[in-house]
Amino acid sequence: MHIPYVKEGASTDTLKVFPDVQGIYRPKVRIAVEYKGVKHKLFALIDSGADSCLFPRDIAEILDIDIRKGPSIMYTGVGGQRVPFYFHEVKIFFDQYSFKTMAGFAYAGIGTGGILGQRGFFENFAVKFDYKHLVVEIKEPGLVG
Amino acid sequence: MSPITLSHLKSYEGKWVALSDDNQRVLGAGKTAKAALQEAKSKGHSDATLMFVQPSNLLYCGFFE
Repeated sequence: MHIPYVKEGASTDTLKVFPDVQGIYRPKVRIAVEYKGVKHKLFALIDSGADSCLFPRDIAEILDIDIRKGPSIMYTGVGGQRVPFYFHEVKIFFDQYSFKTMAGFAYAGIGTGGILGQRGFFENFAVKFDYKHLVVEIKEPGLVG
Repeated sequence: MSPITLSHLKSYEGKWVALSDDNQRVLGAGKTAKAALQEAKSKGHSDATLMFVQPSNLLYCGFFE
């Protein structure tokens, strides 16, 4: 399947560096996340640099997840700060597919609404980012030609 | 294929919004996802899609809260 990128606003600072930009294009897709019968739809960023699927506290709250009851793993990103994520098994729905995975929930924001990383997402799909055409091509593993 | 344009969300930067299925209508908004969902529900929309509207003055390169 082909999913269009999402176009978001660019700041004046960004325009100074990249004067040709029309906006910020990000590979975000509509998914649904379910935990113990509670299910909500959200946009999440496909992030090949993330080791697993990660969500901010806000998503744990609407799914009625008691964040700190799950086992934790420390994560780090740009800036080098270490952030604990607490893991809970969720079911993620994407297009006609669904899969269970251990997803990490932070006790704070993560800068975006949700992250689809290697464990959970990339292990289930073959993903081709085509920024030139602003499309993400997503196939089941083994089907990318 | 054209990108999904969300320029109509500029006034919601840094907030959560609950969007319609065509992404064009903001059914609810708030500082938390829960608040955005609750507003949408109060208007009769129980199946909205949440989005955190990333501030345009903050480009993204991995979290560092």
